[in-house]
Amino acid sequence: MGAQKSEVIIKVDGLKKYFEKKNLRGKVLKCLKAVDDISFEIYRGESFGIVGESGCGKSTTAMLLSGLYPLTAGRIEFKGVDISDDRNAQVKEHRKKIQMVFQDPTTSIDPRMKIRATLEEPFAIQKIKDMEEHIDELLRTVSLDKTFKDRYPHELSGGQKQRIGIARALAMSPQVIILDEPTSAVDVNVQAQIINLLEEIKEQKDLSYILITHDLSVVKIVCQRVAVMYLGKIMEQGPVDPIFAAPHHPYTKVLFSNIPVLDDVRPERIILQGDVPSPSNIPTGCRFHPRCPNAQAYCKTEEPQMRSTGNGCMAACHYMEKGTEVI
Amino acid sequence: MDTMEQLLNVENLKTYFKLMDSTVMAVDGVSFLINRGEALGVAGETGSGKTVTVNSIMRNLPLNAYVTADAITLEGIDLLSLSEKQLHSVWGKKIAMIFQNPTSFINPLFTIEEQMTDVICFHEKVKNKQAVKTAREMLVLVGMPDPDVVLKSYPFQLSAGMIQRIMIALSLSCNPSLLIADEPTTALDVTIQAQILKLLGDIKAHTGGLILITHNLAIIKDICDRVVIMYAGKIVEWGDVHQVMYLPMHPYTKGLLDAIPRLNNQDKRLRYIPGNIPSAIDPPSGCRFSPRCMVAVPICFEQEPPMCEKVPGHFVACYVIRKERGI
Repeated sequence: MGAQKSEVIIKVDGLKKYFEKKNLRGKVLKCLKAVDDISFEIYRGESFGIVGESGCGKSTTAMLLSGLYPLTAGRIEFKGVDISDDRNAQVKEHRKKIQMVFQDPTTSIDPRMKIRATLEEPFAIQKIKDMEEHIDELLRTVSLDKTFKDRYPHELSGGQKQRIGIARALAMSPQVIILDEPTSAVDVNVQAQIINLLEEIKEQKDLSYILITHDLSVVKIVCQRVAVMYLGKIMEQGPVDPIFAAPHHPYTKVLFSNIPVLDDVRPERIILQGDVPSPSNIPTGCRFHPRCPNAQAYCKTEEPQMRSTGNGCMAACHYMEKGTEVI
Repeated sequence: MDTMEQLLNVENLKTYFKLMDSTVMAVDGVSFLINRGEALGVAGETGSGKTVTVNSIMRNLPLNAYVTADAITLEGIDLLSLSEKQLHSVWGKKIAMIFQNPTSFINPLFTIEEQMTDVICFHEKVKNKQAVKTAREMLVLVGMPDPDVVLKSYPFQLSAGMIQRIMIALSLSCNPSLLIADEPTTALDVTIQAQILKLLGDIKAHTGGLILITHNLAIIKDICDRVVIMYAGKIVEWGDVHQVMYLPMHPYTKGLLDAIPRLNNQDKRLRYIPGNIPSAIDPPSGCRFSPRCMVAVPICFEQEPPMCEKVPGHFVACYVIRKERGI
């Protein structure tokens, strides 16, 4: 990687997505802030992890990046070109280069189409000829036999279906692939196979990954940098190694302490009370304060800003800024 | 072990599904026992027969299933000889089950109170008022905030983590002798998973015994006393959790443990067991794991390895291990 690493492939700046419930006159009744002002950069050849609980907005971020939702505010740049504006004719060309692999392969592949038809579709839409060769090539990349072309999804195991999902994402030779929980529907052995396959493909094709998951141990293996999201905001982000070695934000600490691990080296488990609050009714001040083990009075009123914590990491927490030992 | 009271005894359980022209041998000769107050973990890949094993104990199987066993006894009751009607008084009262996807096992049309009191009234033969009181106590036991509000809620108003807690409360409401949890945390986030696992650990004291099914061995290590590793409908290794986790003997157990991503993993590649689990219609002869086994010797392909006790309380079915240890 080395010199390439500085090349920014995706730049997200102040991204917001609000889902608004309006009455007939257009008055906003309820506003669900799914993604609320997040910014990050993804370098070429890197895997960027986004972690957080359900409802934290990580899947919405994926949808926004792949252009499946319009933005409320903010900017998404792909190689320096703004791709958030649909009216720009160039945008379509660039969007092809960002593809997505979905969480559950069973529901994201049409059960009534043969694998051949599923893989043909992207080529047909883009009016590309010699589909057959391309499909063989795709299947080879994901280590599946050619004979799979004439099978239906129900004849495939979960791992094989996810391979088809990956093959479909690779069809348009993308530069960025968004992986939305690619291994949460399969067991550990298949997960290991898929993770290794993804690593191989990444090296072969010089791809960048955005990995969305709640499994931190997968992030540790796959990613170089990670962002921890909570209720639509990034709480902490930076390179994987320093963050895993010494997380600064209390929420990150909680997440890390909750991973079931086989090794005996693990921090003492911190059990959070309650569920993630609803994104339509976000707590004031720091959004984590109602569940935070060391929340102070000022956490309820002031929203903390992102500050550098060294080693290229950033975190948004008052407690940490005041220089007190956390937890 | 002699002083402990035996809770569940399963001997040579075989569950076959008859199809049009073939027989699926989903579970093929499984024996284990649980003592009172013990938690047993059942691990294995998808398709190794974990769920069918517990469903055979519950006798909760489709009509084309044929269950034979030398014995399935729970507290001295022969579960195999019970009639359909007698089974209804066993389900929920003697054996309770928690399912993988809680939202699909709860009726969306009734409030939590109606669903909980229904079960309690049926088994405990109490008046509705008393049942509501018990239901509320159970919700408090599983650490539910605002139990009165929750009782009046419909399932869609609650999060997946809360519904899983309700399922646990519901299964505990009639003081079952045996609690079976079938992948209780697969559908949940890490923080909620930690809450549920802590809860399961705590309620071990309230039930006679616990069977926990999962493919994540790290979860089993946290909660269970003993573990059974299943492969293709057979038990390949069983014993004390710490012995099996730290000194795994069967090549399959070693492979499963290697596939789990670890936080202190320096290597960016995961090791995994190549290939897929064999078809249960026509399983390989000899040791069922032999086609995928790295250390298989000729005898593995011909004869089925018997279960032998290598260390007291740690059983394994493998010829290679037998030879190594000179048994």
